[in-house]
Amino acid sequence: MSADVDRIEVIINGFREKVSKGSSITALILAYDEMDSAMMVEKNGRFVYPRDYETTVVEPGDVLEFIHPDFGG
Amino acid sequence: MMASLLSAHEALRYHRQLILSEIGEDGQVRLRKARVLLTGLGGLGSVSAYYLAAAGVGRLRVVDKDRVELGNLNRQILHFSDNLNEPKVYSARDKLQRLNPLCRIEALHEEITWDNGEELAGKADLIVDGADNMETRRILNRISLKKRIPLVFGGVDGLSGMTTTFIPGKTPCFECLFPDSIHPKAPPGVLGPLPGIVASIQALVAIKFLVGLPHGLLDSKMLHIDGTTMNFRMIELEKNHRCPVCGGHES
Repeated sequence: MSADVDRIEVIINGFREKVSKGSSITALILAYDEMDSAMMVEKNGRFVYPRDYETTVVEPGDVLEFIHPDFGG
Repeated sequence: MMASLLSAHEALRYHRQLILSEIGEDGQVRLRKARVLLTGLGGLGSVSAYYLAAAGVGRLRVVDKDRVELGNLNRQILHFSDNLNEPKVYSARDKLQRLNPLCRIEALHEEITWDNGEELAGKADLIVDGADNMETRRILNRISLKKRIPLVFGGVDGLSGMTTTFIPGKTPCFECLFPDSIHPKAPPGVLGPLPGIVASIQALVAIKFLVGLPHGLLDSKMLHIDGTTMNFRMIELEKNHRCPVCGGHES
């Protein structure tokens, strides 16, 4: 059986990506090296609070954006 | 025929917005009565101040401690080459008064701090953020919450920017979303049109709020602008009910 059955397709920062089924946002932040204390996560158009990263699991077709916030003026 | 609420000069000056059903004479009078605190006259504040004054906001209090530097002029379009070394607030006041003598510009050449913030906000109906750092925004957030004054946030970095409106009791606050202090190592690169876009949207939201339009105020929504891809994305925001600053309280 192909290992692909354990992978799902999601869109991360505008790119189609195959990730492990059951991946949490925390796992994806680590996998995509997006650690930044001020970083924002958007999932399917909604802001996700950091306290929910561990328990928020991506589903096939989910759209995730890791956004580095802008504080310049 | 009912007497006009506006002078002949005002009717002519603001004609193109007065004929909008969303504004009209009543809206224009509301703008004339409005007081706005605008902090920061850099890339963002240059543009939002210009549009607010042009639209006929009655009182605009601008606060900035900085002086005009040569490296500001690629984006801070309220300041000119002959304003170098001048306090930005005085450079701005000069242009804004020439633009619209009906708008009372109060220029305060000082830093907004935890100590003076509330006093500087005074009786403002709205705070427009033109700051360039997180600390000032935290101060503005606390003033906004304490005095229940909505805060129109804007920020830029490189080729991206974002804006949202924090309304006490209704939306998340700035520190719901950004609880940690961030101190950038160096000022970010900025291409002039980017703060121009963000600040234009801030000014649009501010004017709509001041005339009493209830929709499209970017409350509980953050507009994120990616100038590289030209994607404009709306992000839905929910309150953080565990926010130690606002507690996510209802009104």
